Order: sequence, then structure tokens, then C-alpha cells
Amino acid sequence: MKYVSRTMAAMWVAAALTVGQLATVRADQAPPVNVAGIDKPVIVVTGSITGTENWTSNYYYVLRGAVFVQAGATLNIAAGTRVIGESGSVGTLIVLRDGRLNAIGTRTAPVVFTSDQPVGSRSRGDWGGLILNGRAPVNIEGGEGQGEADTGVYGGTNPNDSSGTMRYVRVEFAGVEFSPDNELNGIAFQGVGRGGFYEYIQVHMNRDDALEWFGGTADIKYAVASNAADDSFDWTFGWSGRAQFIAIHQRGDDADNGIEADNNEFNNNLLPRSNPQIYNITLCGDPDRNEGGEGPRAANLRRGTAFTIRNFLVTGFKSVGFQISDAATSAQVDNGTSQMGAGVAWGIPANMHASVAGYITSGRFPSVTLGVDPGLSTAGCANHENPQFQPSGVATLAGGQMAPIQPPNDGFFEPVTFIGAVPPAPADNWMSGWTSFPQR
Amino acid sequence: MSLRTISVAVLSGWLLTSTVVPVWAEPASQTATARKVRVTGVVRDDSNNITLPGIPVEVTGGATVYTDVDGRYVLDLAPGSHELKVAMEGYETRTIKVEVAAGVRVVDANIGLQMSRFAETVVVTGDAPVDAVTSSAEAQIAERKNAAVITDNLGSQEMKKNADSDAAAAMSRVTGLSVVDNQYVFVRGLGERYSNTTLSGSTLPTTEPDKKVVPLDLFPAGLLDSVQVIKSYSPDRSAEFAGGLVQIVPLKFPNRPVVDFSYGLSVQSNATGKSIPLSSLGRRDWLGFDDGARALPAGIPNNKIVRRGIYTPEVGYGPDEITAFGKLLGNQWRPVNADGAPGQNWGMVFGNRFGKFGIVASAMQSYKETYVDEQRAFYRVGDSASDLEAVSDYRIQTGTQKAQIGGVVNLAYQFSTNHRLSFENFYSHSGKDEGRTFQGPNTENLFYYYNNRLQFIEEGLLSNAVSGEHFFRNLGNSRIDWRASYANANRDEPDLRETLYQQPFLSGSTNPNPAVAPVLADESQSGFRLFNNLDDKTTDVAVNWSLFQAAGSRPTQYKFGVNYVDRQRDFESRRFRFIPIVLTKDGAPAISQALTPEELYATANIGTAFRFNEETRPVDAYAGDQQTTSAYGMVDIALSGRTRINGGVRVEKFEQTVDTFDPFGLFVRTISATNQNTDVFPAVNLVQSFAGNQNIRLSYSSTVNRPEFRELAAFEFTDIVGSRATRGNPDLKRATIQNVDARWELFPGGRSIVATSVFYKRFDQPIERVVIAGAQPITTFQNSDKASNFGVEVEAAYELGAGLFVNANYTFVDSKITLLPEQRTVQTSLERPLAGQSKNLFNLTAEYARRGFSARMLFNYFGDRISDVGSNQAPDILEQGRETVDVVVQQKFGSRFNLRLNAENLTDADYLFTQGTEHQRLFKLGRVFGFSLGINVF
Repeated sequence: MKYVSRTMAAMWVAAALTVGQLATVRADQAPPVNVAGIDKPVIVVTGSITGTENWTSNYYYVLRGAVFVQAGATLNIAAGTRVIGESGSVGTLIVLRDGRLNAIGTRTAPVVFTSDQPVGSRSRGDWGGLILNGRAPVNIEGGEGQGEADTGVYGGTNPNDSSGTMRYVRVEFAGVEFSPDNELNGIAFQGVGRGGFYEYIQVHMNRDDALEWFGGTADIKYAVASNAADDSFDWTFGWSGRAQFIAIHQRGDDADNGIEADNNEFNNNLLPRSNPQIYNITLCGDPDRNEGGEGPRAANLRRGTAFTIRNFLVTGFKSVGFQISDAATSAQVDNGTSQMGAGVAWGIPANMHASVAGYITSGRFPSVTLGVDPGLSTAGCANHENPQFQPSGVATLAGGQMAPIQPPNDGFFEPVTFIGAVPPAPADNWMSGWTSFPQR
Repeated sequence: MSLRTISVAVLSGWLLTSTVVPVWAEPASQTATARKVRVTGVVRDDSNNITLPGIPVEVTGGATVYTDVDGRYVLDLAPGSHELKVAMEGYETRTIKVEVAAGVRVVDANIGLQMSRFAETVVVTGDAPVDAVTSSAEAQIAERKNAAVITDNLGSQEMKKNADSDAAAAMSRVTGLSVVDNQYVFVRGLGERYSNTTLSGSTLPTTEPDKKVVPLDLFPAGLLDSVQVIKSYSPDRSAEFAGGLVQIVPLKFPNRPVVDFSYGLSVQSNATGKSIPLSSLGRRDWLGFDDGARALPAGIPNNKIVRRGIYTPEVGYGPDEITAFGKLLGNQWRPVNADGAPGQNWGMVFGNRFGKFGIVASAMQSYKETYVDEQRAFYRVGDSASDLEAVSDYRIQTGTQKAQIGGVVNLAYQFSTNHRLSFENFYSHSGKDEGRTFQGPNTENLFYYYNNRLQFIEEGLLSNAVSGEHFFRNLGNSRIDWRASYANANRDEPDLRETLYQQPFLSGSTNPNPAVAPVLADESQSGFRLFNNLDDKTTDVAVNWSLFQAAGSRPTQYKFGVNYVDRQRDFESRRFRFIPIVLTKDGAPAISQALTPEELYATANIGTAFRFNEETRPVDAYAGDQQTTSAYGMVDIALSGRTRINGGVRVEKFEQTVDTFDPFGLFVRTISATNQNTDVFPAVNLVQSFAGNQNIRLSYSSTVNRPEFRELAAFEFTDIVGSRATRGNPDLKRATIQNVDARWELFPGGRSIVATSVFYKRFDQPIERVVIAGAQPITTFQNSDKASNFGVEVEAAYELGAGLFVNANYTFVDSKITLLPEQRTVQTSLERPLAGQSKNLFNLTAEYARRGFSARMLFNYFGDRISDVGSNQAPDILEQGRETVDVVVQQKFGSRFNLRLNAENLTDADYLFTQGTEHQRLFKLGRVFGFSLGINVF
């Protein structure tokens, strides 16, 4: 795929040159604009970011069109900063390979990427989203991929590559449709390496997948995906990162799968194989038929992916819990690579698909309890404005302690005493303070 | 032999002229008494076929006339026996006898002169009356024989006899040619990007948004004299040459007044009288023009309709304004089924000359309706590469009505025998109205889909050219010709409308669940409106100067010329969609999504149940500009009476720029691509004649193939659900081509001919379609490593006597393209035949003609060809070989009436596309039966 990279490089150079000739409105070049009714000055950002740039909460930053953080550049966004994707120009923030985005919020002052529409008129797809490109391995033939909708080339050979760090960040109302059947994800991790940290991340009301991983090795912790119009958590092309404390809230009007997991749709056995380790995940479907008939599965594990899914709670989906599709995916279970359990699934017409149920019965997937409410209200978890993820009764499940399986002590995972994404004790709810679930 | 001098030179030939030129006698006694008969012919140098202008032709004991710029003379003589004497310094003086029978319209007497050195015989060919306007098979063969380069051609009389309605249909009869999609000519297995088209020698723009090729169905047969395919290169033509150059020659001037009418009716077995889906939105669709029903409403602004944001309120529109815009668009979404009407066509030709002024004019109109019922599936590789699983399997029903009008007006003024000025105008316009529905399962999305689409495409081509020919005898027998032409091609696709509905599967199957009503799918094809416009302009200016040296032992011509071609293209697209407003618990669903599109998108629902949104993408417009400046020098030497060598070089400077940009400038990003090359292209052609009626030809040339605007533009589009998006590549470079050709040909006389050719071409860095990897793989264009193309053509035409005539040709092509290893990524193979190339092509025409009656059977076959190159381990999609059989019967009544019956596509063979062992596409076109009546008023 060297050829494509040359081609694309030339394109970007051409684009950069052109942009260089056009007006770039930036804090250091043009004064911020004062807009009636807006309580801070507005800075409109277009084109490319080169060198190091710092955005602070003294301003609102409007992304006009695709804004690229170029190779070698760093964009630092301080706590409390609001970045707005302009809907008219499809504002989108794209970090190219070797560029870095550091967005560091706090629990009380998260960094928020949001719509430019007035509250009450916001909707999914108002703007583009966040796209991070890195040099970690992907299993696309040729070793590099072409991002959706012209969003850069990704992939490489460095699993420790860094695209920056994000902490306490919300991304809302993003996911515009760029071309037919080609919407943007809330955050697309494209070949992103494990050199950076991603924690306390919420993607809310996205038109496509909330979080999608295109290969790479990046890890994520304390993440919320809510009200997405496609999958909430999607991986493909050989993602082999780690994830812990993941809360998923689906909405039946337009959701697809809670998890949609592929190795590679074009060749199910390409390497490196998708094989993430996921500990402590809660998947809440929308049991309300009045909301629409979508959101059929908690997870579709398919096209050759391997996986480790432990300490899960799954409820409320329209048709099934977890499903394994394609022979190449089952083969990863049969050869001992893929692992599932402990966990609980209840409140779903088929709590587990037959392709998974057999492994539970045989003990291949241990400690999976089906059809027993662990004390997490399915309706409460499906409350769009205020989803409740904290279970109350796991400790007493099946008449005794349902012990979580401890993750590896590798410096990333934290030891746990509970099943699901959020610990039972209200004081320990890591979601409080910085998340938000606006409907419009 | 031909009434007219016909030739192949593109740039208004020097050796042989292709220009349309009326014939004038000197004295111009057109009003001669009715008893007189026209005698006309061309005076040539026998050794190299060069026409000789300015030569006196003397009627013994009568007038003397001079041959004109094309070497032609015209005399009006009383019936009886006459002697014509032709004398010129350096040549043997010749005297020929001409018998003029009373009542004959035209006597054709060509005269060949031999240089004193070679003098042996005088050749007088042909004395049969020749049709006034149209070009006969004999004329075309004479032209082939005399050409300096390898040529195949088809005259308008043949097209009529074959009942071919346009140039595209006609071209499939020619050796080595296949026609893909009924529009695009593949010469010697090379795809449409490798064939070029000229009209009267001038470069043509194209109406194709994605291809380089000029669709030949834009050229109705009624407006043409002939179509010629040049298969070997000579430096007086554009160096952008690979498979072949298709030269369209519009109607030529008659030698006598001509007024012809024709009218025809046809029945299409799939469509006529059947209920077919159509999108009859406009009242003038039957003429091929939209009446405004599909135009972008005047109230919709020229800048992009984007929503106003609260942080940048200077940008965009408020919700109420946007809703008001949405209400302006029409609300018919589905095709309406109607009974298919029969096809009709009429045409007229008028030609005459008045003193020094000549005119030929023609007009035609045609209308037809067709229907195709197609099954189309998309596959991906399953668990193993040999296992394809269908992602979708749709039944696609398409009804089309196509109306075409066209006209030619050519004028010429002959100042004297040595100076002539011509003004040529060509216009063609077609409107295609299509109603399409498809339905079927999509196992990727787990829905059974129902899609409706209305599409209307208007294409127009207008070409105007001024040209002049001048002969200066005292300036070393110089001939100067020049032309300036301007052509404009436009393609307008107003208001494509599409909706998609989905229905869940019945449990355990891919059939729809009848218990659940289909509802509007919230996909990009639902509530979609698209407006496309393409404008392509070409200016072509050329001057050629040739010098003829008859004196000395070797008649030699030198030719020099310059040419400037400017081409500009603008493409713009606007997309809109009605997006369902997300339903929430806040209220009941605004509207049931199971209603029909016309109910859903009723004006009252815009802004309440649906949000109007412009989805024009940042790269939905591109502008291209290219200039080719060239100069050449070449020489044509008759080494002996039988050996002719023609060679030279051409230098071309090529500059090309394509900008892809946001049509509304909001998205600040323009992607520019430029190409700039100056190249030298040599060519040599050798013709060796022997045994009086045979030629051996050898040729070598180096030529070029350049990126097309579209291939450089970063514009992206998707055609149908499940197919890939295509995007240009701003980094493309030109490809260079080495061509070697050899041909042996035998002309036994009349229409008989036997010919065999061998060719080999080598491409360096050919431009090829490839698929690049990603979550949504896209098709793009890249320079690949190399390609080769080898082939053999065999042709035999023979008059069997007793009115029987057969003509057969066969072509074998073997090509191979090699991709660079780093281009492998998702391509299934690094080496394969060129897409669109058939290994075997075969044509057979058998004719029986007797006393005004003729019957003709035409058989055409092409072998399997790749229609879409495989990727991600999936095999290539192959279009399976197919035969076509047509029958045409004609009867003349007296000298004025002609009745023709034709039956086309009699076997109605399957159009079958396969991928591995699976059927990817399958449909039939149906049979066509028609009759037409022709009247020659004069």
C-alpha cells in the first residue's frame, strides 16, 4: 500500500498548500468574534494545525470544515473547553498520523465536542466527529487503510505509537453522513497505538457508531456510549487493545448492535487478528418497542474476531444477547483464544444466541448466568435522559457471590470486586459529574 | 469506384482529403439541358494515390476544366462517346474514352496518371451510377485501399442496409471492434479510455461524466456519411492514440439536387404494449427535453443550504427557511407504469448547389421505449475464497424512453477551383427518461429492500467548424488547409429522485415478512434528490501545409502542421435529502413510515415529519482545463511505383489542471492536480503494393494515453446500494504506448476484400481501475506497471455471384496487465486481461440482392470479457460471451421508394455476468421488429 500512501501524501500536500493560501481564522491570526447571545468569544478554525496549538476555556472553538492536525503537530485542549462542529461546513477534527490531540478535561470541567445548533434543536449528525489516525498495526492487506470519507491514511508497524491522550471528554450529536452509507463515527480510532491514554470518554447521540476501532492497539477505560444510531462499540481490522469499565446505552429508534466485532470482513483470517480484552462492560438495550424495533443484539461477534469479554451485564435488547457468526469466529473459541464469562444476561427474548449458548452449557464459557435479574433495572438502564448502570443485587446472584474474574495485572487493568461497568456503591459511580445525556 | 474522393487524413488531409466538399464544374453549367449527363472523377498519382489538384482535363473538341483542391473534375456531357485528355508535366499524357449512355444520372471516371518513368497503363475505374449523398461500400473499400495508414470503415449505405440506427450499432460490424453498453467502442480489446473520436477531423468533447469516451449513440446514422476507424498512427493526428481513432464523417455534398425522406416504426418485444415503469414527469419528454418539471426550483438559493449555527450565525439558513426550500421540490417519487409505445423515427436530407455555393442539410428525430428486467446480486468472499456469499440479490426493473433529435447543416463556397471555404454544423440531442425499481434481500443489513428511482438525462452535442482549402500551383504545388472548430457537450441530470423501503425477513429466510409492512429506510437513498450538470467545451484549431514534388524520380509529399486543442470541463452536483425527524417518547410518531413516498413527503410533512437537508459534499464539483499544442512534420515518398513510405514525428505539449472543490466555498479545501508533459511521437508506415490489387502494410509508432479529468478529480460517487464508491486520483501520470502493426490485404474488385492483420502494443504505466482497502473500499485509478496487447484480425468479403455476398471478420486479442506489487493490497490478482477485452470477436454478414430486392443476415459474437475487476479475493466479474442475429429485408419500388423491414436481436441471448460460479447479473434486451419507408423526391 505504499502507492496509496504516496498518492494520499500528495493529496494532503496539495490540500495543505491550497489551504495555506486561504484565510485561516485562528486566535493568533485574527481576533475572536463576539456573537450575540454567546457568552464567550468565538474562534473559527479552518484548515490545518501545524506546530503546537493550545485551546482554552476562554473561547468557543468552531471547527469549520475538516480541520487537520498535521503530522508533527500537537493540539492541546484544556479542561472546560467547548469545541463546536459547524454543521454548515461539516466541522470535523482529524488527527493525521504523527499528529497528536491532547484533550484533558476534569470531572467537573470536561472537554466537550458538540453541535452548533441551539439546545432543543440538536440532533445526531449535526457535525462530523473526531478521527484519530495512528501508525499501529492493522490487518488491511498492504498494512495501511484509507479512512472513511477521506479522513486520512492509517496503520503502520508501531504498536506503541501515540496519537495523544484524552481524559474527561464528551462528543455529542456528531456522525454526519459524508457520502451514501458512509457516516462518521463519534470517535474513530484508526490504527491508533497504545502510547496515549483514553479514559473518561463519552460519545452521545452519534449518527453512526459511537466508538469504532480500526485496528491498532489503543486502550480505553471508563467509557460511555449512549444513544448511537448504529453500533455503540465497533471494532475491525485487527484491534487488539484493552478496555475496562465500558457502559453502553442503546436506543431502539435506530440502534444496531451493542458491540459489532470483526476481524476483517474481506478475509476473516487476516493477521494481526482482532483480539481485544474487555473487562467490566454493561450493555443496555432498549426494551421499549414504542421507541422502534432497532437494537437487535447486544453483540455480534463475527468475521473471525477473537475476544475476551469478562464481567459483563447484558439486558434489554430486542432479540438476542451475544451472537457468534462465521466459522472463522467460532474457530477462535474452539482453539482456546476467545474467552467469555463471567457475566449475566437477562430480559432479552434470547438471552444468548444458540451460537454462544452451547459454549455456556458446555462450560467453555464459565460463570454465565442467564435470565436472572442481578438487581439492575432494565428500564432504568434504558432511561435515555438518565440511564442507571449501577446494579444492586449481583452479590446475591444465584444464592451466592458471583465473583468477577480478575483481569491480568499488567498495569492497565484495575482489580475489581464487581460485575458490570459501574460499581454498586453510588459513591463509586465514575459516571457522575462529567457525563450528560441531552436528547435535543 | 467512388464518385467522391475519400480519404483518411484527419487534419484535413494532404495526401487524401476527408473534408466534405461540394463539387463544382468549370464552367459551372449546372443548368445544362436535361439530356446532359454528369461525368466526374478524381485524378490521382497512380504510384502513391495522391490526388492531383489543378490539372487540366480536356474534352477532345470541347471544354477544358481543372481539377479542384481534391483532384476532382466535373463535366456535363451529352450522351455518346467522348475522349478526355489529361496532361501534366512530369506525367504521361493520358486519354481515356467515356461512354455516356442516355438516361444515366452520373458517370464516374477516375483517372490515374503515371509518372513518365513508370508509364505503363491508364486506369479507368467504375462507371456505375452512384448514390448522390450516401457513401457506398465500394467507396469505402477504395478509401481503405488508398489510405496511408491501416483503416477500417463503414459507409452510410452499409449502415442503412444493416438497419443500424446510430454509429455505435454500426461500429460493432467492423473488424476488431466491440461495443460495450451499446455506447462505447472497444477497439482491439482496449477499453473506452483508449479510443478517441473526431467529427470532421476535430476533437470532440464528451457528455460522459466518468469516462473519456464519446458515446457513439449520439450520432444517428442518418446524419453520417461514414465512420472510419484508424488503427495505425500517423503524425498528422493527435498522439493520444492506442486502440484506434474513430472518425465520424458527416454527410457530404451531393453532385445533384437531393431531397430524401424516411419514416420508420419499430416494436420492442420487451416494452411495446407491455406495462413498463416510466418517469413521465414532463410534457416534452417525448422530444427529449425537460419542460422544467425537473429543474431546480428558482426559489432554491445558489449557495449551499446549510443550517445556521448559533456560534456562526452569518452562515446558513434558519429552520423555517430550509423547510420552505424543501417544499419547493416536486412530490412524485415512484415510476408510473404505462403501456409501452412503439418506436418511431423520421429523417430528411436536402442537398444542392447553387453556382459556387453548396449546401447539405439533414434533420432527424427518433423515439423509443425499452424495458429491462434484471436480476443482480453482490457477493463477498465467505469462509473460503471459493465460497461466495450473496450480500444482496435484487430484481431491478428499468423502463426507459429515449428521444433524440439531430441536424446537420454544411455549407461551402468555392471561390475558384483552387480555393474553397466550408462551414459545418452538427447538432445532436437526446433525452433519456428512466423509471427504475428494485427489490430484494440484503443479508448485510438483514432487510428486504424496495427501491424506486426516477432519472432523466439530457445530453447535447453541438459542433461548429470553419475550414478552408487552398492550392497554390506556383508555390511548389502547395496545398494549405486549415480549420477552426468549437464544440460543446452538455449533460444535464436534473432531479434524480430515489426512495428506499425496508421490510424485515421472515424468520429463517431472506423472504420478506408479510406480517410487517415495509417502512421507509433511514438510508441515504431515501428521500434523495440529486442534480448534476456537466459542461465540456473543446476548441480545435489546425493548419496543415503540404508540398508535392512530382518532378524527379520519386513523387514526394512533405507535410507540416500545427494544432492547438483546448478543452474545458465543469462538473457540479447538488444533493438533497428529506431526513425523518427522530421520533422520541416526547410524542407519538409524526407519521407512519409505512405510507407511500408521495404521502410521506407531502408538503405538509416537510418540516414536521421530515427535515430538508442539503447533502452536497465538499468535493461535489470539479473543473478541468487542458491544452494540447502540437506540431508535426512528415514525408510520404513513393520509393517506386509500388512502395510507399510515410513517416514523421509529432511534438505535443500537454498541460492539464483539475481542481476539485467545494461548490459553495464553505469547506475550505481545493484539491488540485496538474499534468505537464512535452513528448515526441515518431511514426512510420510502409505500404508495399503488388500484383496490382494487394498491399502489405507495416507500421510502428509511439503514442500516449493521458488521464481524463474525472480520473484526476477527487470527486466520489456511488451508483447503487452495495456497489463501491469511485474516486479520482490527483497523482495520475500519462501512460506511453509502443504500437507495431502489420497487414496484408487483397482487393479482388467490387466489394470483395481479404485482409489479415497482426498487432502488438506495449503500455508503460497504463492507467487502471483498482480498489483500495478501507472500511468502505473504494475504486480509484492508478498507474499500474505495464500492459501488453497482442492480436490477429482476419477479414474476408466476397461476391459469390448471383447476387450473393458474404462478409466475415474475426479478431483474436490477448492482453495482459501487470500491477505493481505494492498495488496488490486488496486486488485479487496482479496479472489479468484488460477489463472489457474479449478474446474472440466474430462478425458475419450474408446478403442476397437482386433487382431492387435485398435480404441481409447479420451475426455478431463477442467472447467473455471482464466487466468488473475482482478484489478482496473475490473473482473478476465476467460478462459472458453473447451472439446477436439481425435480419434486414429491403425492396425498392421504382427509383423513388424503398421499403425496409428489420428484425433485430432475434436470438435474444442472455446478458449474463458471472462471478466465480455465481450469476451476478442476468437480463435480456428483447427483440426489435421494425419497418421504414424511404422516399427520394429527386
